[in-house]
Amino acid sequence: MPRAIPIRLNDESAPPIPLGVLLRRLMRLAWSHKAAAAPAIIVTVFAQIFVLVSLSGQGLAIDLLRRRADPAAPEPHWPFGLAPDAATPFMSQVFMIAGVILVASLFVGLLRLLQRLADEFFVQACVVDLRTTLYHKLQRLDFSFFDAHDTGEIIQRLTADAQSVRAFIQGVMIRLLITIITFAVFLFFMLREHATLTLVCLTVLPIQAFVMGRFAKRVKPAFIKQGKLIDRYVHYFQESIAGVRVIRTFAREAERAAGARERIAEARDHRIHIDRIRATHVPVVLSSSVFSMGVLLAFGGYLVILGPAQGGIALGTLWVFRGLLERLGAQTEAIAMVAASAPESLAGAERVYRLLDYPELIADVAREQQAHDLRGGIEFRNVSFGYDPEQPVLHDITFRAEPGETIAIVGPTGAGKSTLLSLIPRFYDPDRGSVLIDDIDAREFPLHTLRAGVGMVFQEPFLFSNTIRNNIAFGVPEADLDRLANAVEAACASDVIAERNDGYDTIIGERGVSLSGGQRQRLTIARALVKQPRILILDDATGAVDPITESRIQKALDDALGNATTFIVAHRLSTLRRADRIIVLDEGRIVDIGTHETLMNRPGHYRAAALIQLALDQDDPQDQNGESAPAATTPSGSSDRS
Amino acid sequence: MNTHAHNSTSTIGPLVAAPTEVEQQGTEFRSFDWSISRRLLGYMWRYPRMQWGIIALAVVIAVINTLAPVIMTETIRRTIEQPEQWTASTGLSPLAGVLIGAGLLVFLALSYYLIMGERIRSVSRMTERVVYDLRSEIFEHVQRLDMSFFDRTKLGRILSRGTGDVEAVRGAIAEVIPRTLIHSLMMLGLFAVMVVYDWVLALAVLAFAPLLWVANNYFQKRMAWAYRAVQESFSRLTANIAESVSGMRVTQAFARETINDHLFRDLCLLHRQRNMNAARIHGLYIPLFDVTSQLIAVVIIAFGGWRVAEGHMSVSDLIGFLLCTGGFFISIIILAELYNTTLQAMAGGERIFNLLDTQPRITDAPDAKPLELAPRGAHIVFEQVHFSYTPDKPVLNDISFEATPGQAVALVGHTGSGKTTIVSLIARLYAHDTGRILIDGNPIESLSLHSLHSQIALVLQDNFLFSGTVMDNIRFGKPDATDDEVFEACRSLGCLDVLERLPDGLNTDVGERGSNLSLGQRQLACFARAMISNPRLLMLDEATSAVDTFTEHKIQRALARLMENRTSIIVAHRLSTVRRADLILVIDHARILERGTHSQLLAQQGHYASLYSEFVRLSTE
Repeated sequence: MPRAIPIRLNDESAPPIPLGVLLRRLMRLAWSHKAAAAPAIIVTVFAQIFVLVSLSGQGLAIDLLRRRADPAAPEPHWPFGLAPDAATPFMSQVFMIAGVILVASLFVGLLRLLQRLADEFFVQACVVDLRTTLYHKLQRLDFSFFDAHDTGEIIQRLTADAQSVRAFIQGVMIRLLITIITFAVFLFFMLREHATLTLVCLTVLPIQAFVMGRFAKRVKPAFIKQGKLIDRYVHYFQESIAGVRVIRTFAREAERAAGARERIAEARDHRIHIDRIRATHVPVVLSSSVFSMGVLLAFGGYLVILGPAQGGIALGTLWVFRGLLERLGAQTEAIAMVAASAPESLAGAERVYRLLDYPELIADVAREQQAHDLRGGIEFRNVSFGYDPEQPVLHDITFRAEPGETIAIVGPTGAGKSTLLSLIPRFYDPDRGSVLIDDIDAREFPLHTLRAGVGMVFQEPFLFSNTIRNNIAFGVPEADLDRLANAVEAACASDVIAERNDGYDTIIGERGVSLSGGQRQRLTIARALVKQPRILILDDATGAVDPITESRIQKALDDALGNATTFIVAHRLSTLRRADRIIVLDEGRIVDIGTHETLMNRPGHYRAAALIQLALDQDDPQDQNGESAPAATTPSGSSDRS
Repeated sequence: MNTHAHNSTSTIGPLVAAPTEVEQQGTEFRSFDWSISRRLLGYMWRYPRMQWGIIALAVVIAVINTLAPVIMTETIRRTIEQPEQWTASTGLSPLAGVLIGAGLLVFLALSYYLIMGERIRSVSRMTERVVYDLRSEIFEHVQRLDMSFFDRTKLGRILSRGTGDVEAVRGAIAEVIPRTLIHSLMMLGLFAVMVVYDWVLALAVLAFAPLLWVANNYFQKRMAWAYRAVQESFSRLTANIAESVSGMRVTQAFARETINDHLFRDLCLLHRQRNMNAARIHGLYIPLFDVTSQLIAVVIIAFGGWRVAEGHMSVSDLIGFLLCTGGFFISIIILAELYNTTLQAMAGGERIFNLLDTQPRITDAPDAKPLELAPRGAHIVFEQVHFSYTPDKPVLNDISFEATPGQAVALVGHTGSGKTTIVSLIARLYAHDTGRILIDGNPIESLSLHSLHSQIALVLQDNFLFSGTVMDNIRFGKPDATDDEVFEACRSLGCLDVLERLPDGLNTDVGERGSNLSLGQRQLACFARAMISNPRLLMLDEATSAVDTFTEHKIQRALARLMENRTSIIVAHRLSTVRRADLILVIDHARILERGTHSQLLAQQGHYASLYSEFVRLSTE
């Protein structure tokens, strides 16, 4: 039953998620936090109403004062029949209006604050939900997913793309809502005051929106290119620092400087190019407020001269229109930017949902068998497997390891040694045949029990940027110091810790102390030993450790884990001699199985390799190698530096 | 499953250690410093014509911004408020007057458009030139600094001088001077207009200015801190994600998913909390301008209303006030923002200048002479050389030896014994403390660095490769080498077949730090790079890690070829290399413990002999 390989996330040929589906899913995310969204909407409506109150107050005050200064001017129009009786002193009327404006603007301020808080609350509710869902999903994806995708690409999904979902919710959904509400409230008011003037004044807004939309569209690719150019320069700078010894001892400073100048100049010229685009678009927005004041003055001025009695307007209304136009202009600008940024954030959202839809191939199906104990018996029954089922890496592998046995696996690079080992903790399921754990098919065995019982040491000694303690206790966070110290002792890593001032609290990795490949390997062995595993898997785990230490580790492991089933891939003969059985693997097939002695006694791969090794030992005891075949061009990805 | 996960997350350390120091995000404030400003201004005045052009444009923009409300107000005054006088003095109808005013505004808008465009272009031209100057200077200066600088300064730090800090300075160069000018002039102009309309009310309005300035500065600073905290928790979130992805295989192998879920959720919640906190401060700040300008409107209406009622000012004056205060107070806010931008730029500028002021400790002596080219290998003499990186910890103690032309010297000893340091001193990456190092009889400090480096090749243990193809990397040793020369160098090392077997042969991209190549392939490429530069002195720090038998064989053969006909000094980890050496120096605790050939040293029955027997025992045990 050949497995179907899921389509890679960035596969161009994958069918796109239809826009409607995508929007529905985003809406559903937002809708599930609708309780958080409701206050944001209510607050926005009220904020705009109070803006209107405050502006109308100003208009009314202008009309009132104008009437006082010039009795020929039109009568001020008090809204809602609020007109004071004639006995009210003039200044009291003015103060009353001023009071209303004061209260209204304080309310506006308060509502703006609430609006910002409500926005953030809603957005955060959605974002925390999305991020934790994504992270949860990521941790349940199997190894084949991580094989098929670059680390950087996956990180991009969880950071930048998750941010673009946030940008969509905050920048598009909320922004759109605010704009629609604002327009609705303001337009309702303006049309009631004077429909024709409203329409005339609004002619500027579409132009402004068009220009800004065009700007955003044109400038976006330019900014993406700018980012790449800056990356190019930073990368070059970074390499010039990391490789400074090479540059200096080859006397290549001048060439490097020329290369840097070229990259810096490229970034400079492109930036100037972007600013040229800005120079033709951005001033449109800046000057359009002056321009629309001109339009308003022309038509509105005409209407004021006409006077309210002849279908015109009062001077105060002109003033109110001016204020509203200014605010609508700002909204238009914002909405144009939104329209331009929406496709980008939707693209990010699509990538996020692709990840969430990615099939989980290795699932824990055996939840009901939780009480199961792991004893450590492993059997491969006619196992075939390929990362791509079309290109099998393992063919018909059959062998059995009893609990407590030590099995060594040898073979040239690319023979499938690591692949074979990775089927034991069920990082992959075989294409054909089955892997049995304590005589139960691994697919039926409780996944958590299995993995909690396996001590895995990968070829690549990955450690987290964290303290040594947190790294070693990774599998058993509650382990006490004694337990850690024992594991460290058995991995011959005590000196790594002892030579640091902070001991177990030394931070290692990118932000802390850098360790040599051998030191890292020893810590990863300690990390596996802390679990006190029933099954220990050492995948070429001591390649960067010097031979003396390697044999010390081997001895210590024998003492520490007499009863664990151990699988080991190693190069050095001294290690292979200790194994109960040796599986010789070549091109994905088992070509021989036996002890060191039996294998040495019959012709075949193992003896040939061992003999070459011994010959090399004569020449150079320090460098032994378990591989005989001249197949060394496969990149090993080894990162050993000391 | 995973019963312990939920309760114990509080006691479990985070997945990624929290940063020990908060990374500089550019939101740092520094008090105003004239010496930094002067120095930054110096960079700008390298382009005086552009600078004057920018200033001239700024003045015009300020004038336009002042004129717009005046035109509006005066049009209302003359044609709406006093139509009779208008018609009497000009003979035009009020409507014609309105249209003239509107026409003037439209004209103003058009010129504003053109001038703003020109301003953006000219500011960009100058700013980008200054940024270019700064970045090139930083790069070139860093390239001249000595190794001790790189030992004590983290790579990220150095990089951020040329990135974040330059960006902070860019913001100031681009915006601060022209915009400060525009808005100061605008404030002056608008205030003058208000004084003309009604000087009493103008003074009342002015009283708000310092209030707004202080409030704005307060919020700006608090916001900067709040958003810095947001940034910090976000970078922790990102670091956690990055680390989770890179270490996902480990996580799954160790069945840690549930614990990690909880740790991640905690980080998300922390980030949310910081965002909410920032939103609270931002929420107070957003209405600051709105509320202030409304409050001023209240004052204008109440106080101005009284002045109008008393006949001291007209309604148009009042409208003029309302119009002018908008521009006046927005200018205060902008000036306050610019002030903060300046302070941030100061912090960036200070760090940049600190770097540029760091002097390299190793430079050519004033009378430095070039190392003469000679057809044979270099002649190296160490006479009682002492050296330490830090004063109290000697790394080399009284080292004396001689490598005659063509000799191979092997340095043997434990990690940290000082072998690599000897090599670094010969390359003059560090300067020795006392004693003498002679190259072809010349004291090393009397030679020009360039000539010295041109005649040596150093192969380091990390096998550093630059991004690019294998061919590019080999050619690094001799930039003008033809393709044939590169092939010949590989062929002569006997490794052409290995490199040609790469996916694209010698044109294979080596990847980030050579990650597309195996360790052995990287080493061979570095050998070829050294080979093509045809050095008189080869220095090599052998890699310790095991590679497969086939490649190992290639490496040993290539090394033998590389050492032919030149002096070589090798930090040796392979016994085959050691055996071939003409002179073996056994280094221990900063001193030379034993010296001689392989057989001489074995005969001595000393340290070397015991090291050797341990290797032999291990391989036959």
